Amino acid sequence: MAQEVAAPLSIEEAAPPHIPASRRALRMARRHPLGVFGLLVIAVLVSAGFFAELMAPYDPLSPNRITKAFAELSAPVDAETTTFTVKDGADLGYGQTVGIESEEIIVLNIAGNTITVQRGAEQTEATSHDAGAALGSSTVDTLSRPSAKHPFGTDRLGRDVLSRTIFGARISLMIGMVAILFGVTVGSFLGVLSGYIGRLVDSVIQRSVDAFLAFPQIVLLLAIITVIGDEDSAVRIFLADNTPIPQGEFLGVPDFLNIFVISIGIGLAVAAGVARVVRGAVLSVKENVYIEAARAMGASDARIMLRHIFPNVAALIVILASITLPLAILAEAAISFLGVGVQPPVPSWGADMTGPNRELALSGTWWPVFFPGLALSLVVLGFNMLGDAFRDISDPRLRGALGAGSGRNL
Amino acid sequence: MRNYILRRLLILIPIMLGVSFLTFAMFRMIPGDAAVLRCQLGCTPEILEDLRHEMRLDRPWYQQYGDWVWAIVRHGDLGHSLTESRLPVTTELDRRLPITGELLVMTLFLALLLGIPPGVISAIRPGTPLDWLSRVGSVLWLSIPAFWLGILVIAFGVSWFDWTPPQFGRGYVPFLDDPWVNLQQFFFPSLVLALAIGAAIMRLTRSSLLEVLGNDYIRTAWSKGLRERTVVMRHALKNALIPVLTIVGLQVGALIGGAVIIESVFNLNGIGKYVLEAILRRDFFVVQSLVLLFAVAFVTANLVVDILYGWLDPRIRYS
Repeated sequence: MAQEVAAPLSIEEAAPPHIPASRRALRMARRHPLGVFGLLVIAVLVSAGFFAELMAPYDPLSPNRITKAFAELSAPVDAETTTFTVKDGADLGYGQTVGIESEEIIVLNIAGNTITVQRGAEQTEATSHDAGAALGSSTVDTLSRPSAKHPFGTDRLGRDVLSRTIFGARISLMIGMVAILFGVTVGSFLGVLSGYIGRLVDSVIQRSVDAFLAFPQIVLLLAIITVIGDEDSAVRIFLADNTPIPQGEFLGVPDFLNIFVISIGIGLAVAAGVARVVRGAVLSVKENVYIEAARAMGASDARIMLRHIFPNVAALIVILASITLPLAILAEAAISFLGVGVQPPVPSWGADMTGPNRELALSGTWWPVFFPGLALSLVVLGFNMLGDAFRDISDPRLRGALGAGSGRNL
Repeated sequence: MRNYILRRLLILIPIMLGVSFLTFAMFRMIPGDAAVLRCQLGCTPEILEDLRHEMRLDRPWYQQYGDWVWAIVRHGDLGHSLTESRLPVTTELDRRLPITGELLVMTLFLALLLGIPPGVISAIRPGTPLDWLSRVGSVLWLSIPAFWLGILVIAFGVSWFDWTPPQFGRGYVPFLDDPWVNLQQFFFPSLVLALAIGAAIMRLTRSSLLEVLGNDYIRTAWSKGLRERTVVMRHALKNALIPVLTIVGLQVGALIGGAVIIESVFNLNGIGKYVLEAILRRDFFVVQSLVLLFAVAFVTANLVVDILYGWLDPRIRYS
């Protein structure tokens, strides 16, 4: 392809008077349209995650409860009486009796289109069309097709799928980033230690890494998260008692502790791979003469590792983190899909594709499953395309060689 | 050669012990064991103790693990499930292995079919629309999660063609009993699983072949006036396939992981579904045994790959 042939020449051209950074960026963008596309997708996802309250038209957890930002824009739909919040952990199955409660209204049962509510002592039953009358509010549209009012439709509880998808971005990003931060930190610490000290430390760490890597990734993740996600697990109890990690709602995410524990689980799986790669890099870095010089000057092992070895593998660690982030997002979706990760009613792309939504999809109601999956695919696509572009820029010979494909494990 | 294979197989023993012990240790770490899960309604500490005793969970951990290993060594007995059925793991494996086996073989076949020919075409005609198409396609397939695609296939199969994969109504039908139904059961799950792996193979085939095509001996082959077909197929492809083979070997882990997900989406009662259920029920003897099996599959697959290297490149020696 033309641009790759031209690449070596452009280095010589670029040496004389400097081209403004903005022009260079523009040129780079023109050469890698797919990379720009990836960047855009990621930018949209990140802003959706950060500003979910502002972007989502409805509340992701309860039907027809309009979020603050939109309550001001659209006419308030009888805000006082519509507002009911889903009680902790109560996700509805068909015809299941659950408590969705607010101060004045208790929804006793939602079965198909029929809603039974209790206000004070009296009980009322209504279909979705006149549920408004029962609730003293607007109607709860359950399973409505994508329309102008609900661009992605609504799910079986009347929750807006678009809003859930937007809030899902926040959960995905949160889990992905915490997992990578934890995994890369632990992994590089173990990798540097293993590579630099060698001998017994190296053997112990590497054999443990071997054991971790011998599992199929998804099985390992399922096992780790079942174990540490358990209510009585030592990890969970430790985090709850000894750290400032909030147990209830945090940053608009209900049950934050659970989300955090899942991230740690994914992070552990990430750490094993990172430790292996970083060790390899450390082995070659430590043969450099400047390490010997530092040692000759009487530097301690800790100092050499921190000041001389670590900075030289830092670039590699950053690259590893960026390659692994989409994998962590995918991993969260996969385990939540299998019912082990994020639990309903917390909006998660993976969790929204399973359970009752999946049953519904099998009978033709595709939208509650389709849109979260589309968002997930787009994000991973964005990261893969951006990764490809970076690889092209840094080494034109590698044109789409390794990377996204070979590192993928799900 | 024989020594080499033997040595590789010997490495299996510590790996098997390592992974099974790790699984065992993980599941022993949490207080809520399989007995607690089974003892739900009207559970008193006495009943729980009885259950533990019946399930032999009241003995020290090293005895539990030791007995399990010893039974395998002596009778090839992988233990049994901790659920009420107490089904021996080997009985379940007899029933489930053919299902997962067929799924994985078909997936591998489809992945190679989707990966190698487009990769070759893409590499010998770089920059053409065909190349562009297969490259974009490969990034796309790599990014779409198999479980989502699987649900969509079933959902749109139902609403557009009124077709449901036969396994939803009836169980697994072996190929020899009814080939047509069997293929209907396995084609889509395999295809969905194969797309991402095929895309990875395609990308690697392309870049590896491009690199090989730049070598001097290829120029020599061209200058001898050989046909393109001969140059690509006889001289270049064989060498280009070595890294591809490595990735295929490493993908075995991803394949097993994929089976866990896709069997659950397509309602296939194979090993993948078995391991998922066992993890959810903390049935750790089952999980241990299956993890053992996965490790064996992974190591064997990579051993086969290493042996194939020698066939692709006779210069490679085993030591």
